[in-house]
Parts: sequence; C-alpha cells; structure tokens
Amino acid sequence: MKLHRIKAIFLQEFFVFIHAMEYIMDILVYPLMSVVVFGFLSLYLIGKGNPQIGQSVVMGMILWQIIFITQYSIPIGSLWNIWSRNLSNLFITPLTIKEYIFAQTISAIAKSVLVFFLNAVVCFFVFHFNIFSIGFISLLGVYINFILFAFAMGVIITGLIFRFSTRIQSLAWGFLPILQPLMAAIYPVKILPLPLQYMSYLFPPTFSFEAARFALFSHNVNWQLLGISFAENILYVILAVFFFKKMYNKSRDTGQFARNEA
Amino acid sequence: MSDILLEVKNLVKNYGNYRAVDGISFQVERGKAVGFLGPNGAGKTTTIQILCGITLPNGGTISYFGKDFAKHKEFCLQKINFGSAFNTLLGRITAYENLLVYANLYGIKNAKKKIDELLEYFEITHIARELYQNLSAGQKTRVNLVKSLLNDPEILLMDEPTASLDPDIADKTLSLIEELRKTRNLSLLFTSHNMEEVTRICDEVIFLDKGKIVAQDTPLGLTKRIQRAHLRLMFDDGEKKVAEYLQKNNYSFSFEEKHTVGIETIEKNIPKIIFGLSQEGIWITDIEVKKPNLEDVFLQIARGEAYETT
Repeated sequence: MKLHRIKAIFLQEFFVFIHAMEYIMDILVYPLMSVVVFGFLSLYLIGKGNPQIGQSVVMGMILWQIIFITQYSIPIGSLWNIWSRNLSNLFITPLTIKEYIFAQTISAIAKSVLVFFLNAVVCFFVFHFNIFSIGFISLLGVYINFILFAFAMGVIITGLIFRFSTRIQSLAWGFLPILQPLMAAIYPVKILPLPLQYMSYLFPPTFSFEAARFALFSHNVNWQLLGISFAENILYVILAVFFFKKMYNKSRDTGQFARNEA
Repeated sequence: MSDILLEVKNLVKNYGNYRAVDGISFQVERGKAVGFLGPNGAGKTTTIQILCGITLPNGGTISYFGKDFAKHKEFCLQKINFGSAFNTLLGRITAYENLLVYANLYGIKNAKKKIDELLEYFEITHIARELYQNLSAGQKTRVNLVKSLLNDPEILLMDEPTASLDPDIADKTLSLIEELRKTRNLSLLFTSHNMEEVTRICDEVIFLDKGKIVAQDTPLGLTKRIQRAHLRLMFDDGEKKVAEYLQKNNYSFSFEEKHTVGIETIEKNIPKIIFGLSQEGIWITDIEVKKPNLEDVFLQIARGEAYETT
C-alpha cells in the first residue's frame, strides 16, 4: 500500500465533504437531529421518574450514529464517483482496491469521530448526559466493535454496488435502519419477542449495546459481552472481505465495473 | 530496432455465450498512433477497458513495456493513462482539486507546479478553481487531457475523446493531441467512429468487427484495398454514344445531369473508359475520380460486404 494513493482518496473525500451540502446534511445535521429528538425523549423519561431508561435511550442514539456514519461513508464515496462517471478513472491509475477501501474506511472513521464528539458535546450541554460516564474502556471497546461491524456492512454494500451498480444504491443509507430494531440500540434485547431475540444475537452490535448499558448502570466493563461482539465481528469482517472480493472480481469479469458509469 | 510499448496476443473476452473480443493481436510502437475502428458492438471499448485493467479478459496476454500487465499492473498503470468522453472527473469538486487527487494517485513530485504547467499549456488556468460540473464540454475535455498527462504517460489510451463535442472544439482537441504526439513522442491507442479523425491522427488502423480484426493497415493502405471508384465525366455532346459505349462494355452508370455521367467501376478500368470514349469521338471536358476513403471501408465492413483483408 502506498501512502500517497491513500492520501489521494482521503483528499477527494475531504474535497467532496467541503463542497457538497447534502454530504454535510447526511453526515452532520441529520444524525445530530436524531440525537436531539431522542435527547428530548430522554428528558421526558427522566422527568417521569425513569432516569436510567432516559439515559440509555440517548446513549443508544449517540452510539448508533457511530455504526451508521461509518457504514454509510464507505460506499457513499464510490457512489459520488459513479454519479460523476469517475470511478473507473480512479482504477486506471496504480490505485489498488485495498488502498481504495482502506482510505474510504479511514475517512469513514474520521467522520464518525467528528459526529461522535459533536453529539457528545450537544448531549452534555443540552441534555446533561455525559457519554464518557460509561467509562473509557467500555466506550473504546464498544467503539471498536461498532467500527468493525460498520466496516463489514460498508464493504458488503460497496461490493454490491460494484456488482449491481446504482440500482441498489439505496442500500448505502437504507440497509442499516432496516436492521436497527434487531440490534437493540435504545432498548434491552429482552424487550424483543423471543424469536427476534435469537436473531438479534446474530448481530455483533447487540452485545455491544448491552455492554454499554451494563457499563452505564454498573460502571463496570462487561468483558464477556464485548468479547462475544468482537468475535462475531471478526467473523463478519472475514466474510465481508471475501464477499467483496467476489463481487469486485465478478463485476470486472462481467464488464459491469466499467459499465457502472454508462 | 522497434520499441514496442504495448503488445496484445490472442485477447479473448466472453460475456456469457457472447464473444465480445475474439482472439485479437496487435502492437503499438513508441511514438505511433493506432486507431481502433468498427461498428457498434465490434469490441473496441471492451478491448480498451481490458487494456486499462477495469475489465478482466478470458484469454490472451497483454504486455506493456515488455512486462505482463496481469502481473505488473501497478507498474504499467503508472506509465499509461486514459482519456474518454464517456468518463469525466468528479463534478462536485473543482477542476484543480480533481487534478490534485490524480497527481497524488500517481505520486507526482511538485504536484502543484506540474498541474500549473499543464493548465497553462492547455490555456485553462482561469477555470481551474471552478467546480468541474460547471465547465463547458470543451473545458472539461481540456481538464481531462491535463489529467491524462499528469504522469507523463508513454502511451495514452483514448476512447472516443471527441464524442459529443461540437466540431470546432473537436478540431481543437485533435490539434492538441497532434501537438502532444509531436512534442512528447507519445504513443496513442485511439478509438473513434469518426473516420476523418482517425485518418488525421493515426499511423495505423485496426478494423474490428464482431470482436475480430478484419483489417489492419495504414489509412491509405486500407482505402487502397477497395478497388471501386466513382468516375464522373463531363463531355461536350453525344449522350447517346456514351450510353451505348458504357452499355456495350457492361459498366454501371447514370447521367447525373446534362453532359455528365457517373460511372461505378474498379480503379484500373478508369484509363480504359476514358480512352474508349475518346475513340468513340466523345470530347471529354472534365474528369473527377472519387476514391474510397476510410468511411467506405467502414461501411463495407459494417454491411458485411466482401473486403480484401490481406
């Protein structure tokens, strides 16, 4: 991997970010508005004598944005290039697919960190909730797990876009919200009907959200839940990378990769 | 000794049961321009996409600068570049920002200086800070050319670079390409539907049809293989005598206007016709011979008519 090529993709992402209003809305404004809505809900719940539930709701929403922003940012960079008929131009340079995905991932993580701190500050001053109250270790563990899961989802969706073009582009922003109810972001898993609970545990973030709630209420790290989430994530990442390679090669074999921009 | 930059051997590409590229082989030498011509679906664009590495072949070998493209992709892509009317740069960022991205992709040292020099060369410094999407087609083409030259390529692959440009801008673009060839000894692989462009730019033309090379020669050599010509004769008087002579000798003809006859024949018959009519006492006042051009070769191939390929 060559640093100058990773920097090039990172630069491109930065230039799009500063020019495209819709990018700023998608990455900064809408996630913040979601947190604000759930922040007010938490104030209402706290006022009704449910402080723990109130805090877990706003915490769940702040953490959910880490997954969403990271996953969304990985394929959206490719879509910007496809919409401009520039994607194949990029790959007629020495840029490798590993460098491209790596750069998109670093850029996605940077955006998620930006959004996380923005949300954390707003929640601290407006809703009197400190996300760091769950403890640095728990927060770091949860963050790493969410990044791994979002990376896996992001490369799967990028692979599908390479393979099937823009007709499935809505997966970039619409896939995770479909799964969100199963991942128990703002409520405990036990709320779900039993069959859905089994399905819920197939997703690594479920364990991480449970671990975060455990840390919020007990101020202790739940290594077991974080560990299960991490193990599941490793499996997801391996499968996702394998799937992406298949989709990318198939796309180049069928000529779809070049036709994406036709 | 020839200096071969690109060598393609038995290249094959199948899309399911359809064979888009059927065992083609050719070479591009340093400083030479090779044109790909052929009707839609002939395999031109697929071949270019394979040569750029964005579509995978099913068979055959490609080597750039003597190195196997499949094994040394990064090395080869560092020394080639691509330009097409069908690929553009990222619309939502400025032309300059796009160029900076590509300069970094190629690892250009002093990227800003290099970009500034090329912008100046193409006389587009003033539009560099505009969003790419706001540029005119001609300005975009120039920015694309700057992008295509950032890495000082030794060979430039161009897929219909003037498609959708108005004639004036297309002409200017071709002039720039011609100048680049001269000043940089640049090799070109050039696809186009426009016969005049290919005749103007290319030293050698490869005609593709149904994925196969059906003819390969210089533009002049290709047209010479069509022996047919249209002879137009103007004469003082004696239409009846002219018609009788041409009928007697089984020529295909028609009177285009008064005292003017058009004759479809093979080139070598032209002196015989003129001499024969003179012998009949016809006073020929003007002679026009319309020789075949690349368009005639193209049409002949596209219509599936017999064509001498050797």
